[in-house]
Amino acid sequence: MEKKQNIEHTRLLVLSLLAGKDLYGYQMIEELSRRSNRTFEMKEGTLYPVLHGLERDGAVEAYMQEAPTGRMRKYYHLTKKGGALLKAEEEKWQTYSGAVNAVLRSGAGLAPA
Amino acid sequence: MDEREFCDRVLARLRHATRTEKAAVRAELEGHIEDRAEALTKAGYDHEAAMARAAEVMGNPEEIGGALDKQYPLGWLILSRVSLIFSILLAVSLVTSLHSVAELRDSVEARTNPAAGLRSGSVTGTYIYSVDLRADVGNDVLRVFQLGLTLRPDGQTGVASVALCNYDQNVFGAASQILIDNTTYETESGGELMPAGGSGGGGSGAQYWVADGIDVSRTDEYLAVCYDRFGETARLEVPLDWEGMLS
Repeated sequence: MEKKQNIEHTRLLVLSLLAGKDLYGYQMIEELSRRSNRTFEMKEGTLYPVLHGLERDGAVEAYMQEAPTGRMRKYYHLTKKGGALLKAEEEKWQTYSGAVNAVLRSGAGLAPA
Repeated sequence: MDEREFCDRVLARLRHATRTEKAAVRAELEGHIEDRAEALTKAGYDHEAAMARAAEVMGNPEEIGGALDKQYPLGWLILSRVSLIFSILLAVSLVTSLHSVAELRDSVEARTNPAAGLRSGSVTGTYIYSVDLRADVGNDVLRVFQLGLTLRPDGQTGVASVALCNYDQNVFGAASQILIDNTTYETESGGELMPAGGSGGGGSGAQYWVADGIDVSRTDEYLAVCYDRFGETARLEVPLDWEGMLS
């Protein structure tokens, strides 16, 4: 299997990352890469439309915090609404992945010996 | 492509964001690129190459700008502009109405309890008493509300201190700012008295003045507060209560 994967479920992954703690954009990319053992690769800037969309929908809230270097960073925080959205998206993903696995399993059963 | 060019190209696609929102997007993207460049520098890149690489891994700026723009729909921009205008109007009307409330309070106070409205200066004397004399002067009311008397050791002369105010006849109207300045003081016999001093103040709701050090005679029964300008005249005869003072 090819190691690097383009992310198609960024919303779900972002919500999932923020369920643990508040993060800023660059941190999310790093965390995603670390947790997926560098499997997921995305154009880093594409994270921001997703984040801003979640912010607009009220799923996340943003606040500014100064880094030790003096640089201001925009942190994102998962809201209650975001938590509910994460649960719903997670369930959809489980249903979807379960269906894919079921198809793969049935395909394996049909494979010639 | 460097950090600035990347951000410029993203922002060029952000047509529905406000100036503040664009500045925030730029700061966030620049911060990300700088963080990535810092990591690349630690990995051995030189600064310029690190910045260029960091901008490159962000992706296509036009695509990102277009996707970001969808998060700032035109309706939202219009709404934010309208709400900004509405907020400004609201703030202006609030300030104006607060000012009006203060004027109204001063105007009512001058009618009901002028002694409380007298915030600058006070009547002086060994005997201070309230009076309530009013006269219409143009659109305003001139009111004398307090007097102070002191009898000199000679027992024949004394010093008076008188407090007056003016306010518009309409409770929402503005008080004349020049009426009190043009009041004069006369003895019972008609001779003009010159106060030794005075203090006063006020706002649009009411104006106050305390005239001090007016020489009066023990034989005077009243002190006249007069106004005679622009065809308007008024004369308020304020009783000098010598008996009250001596009792």
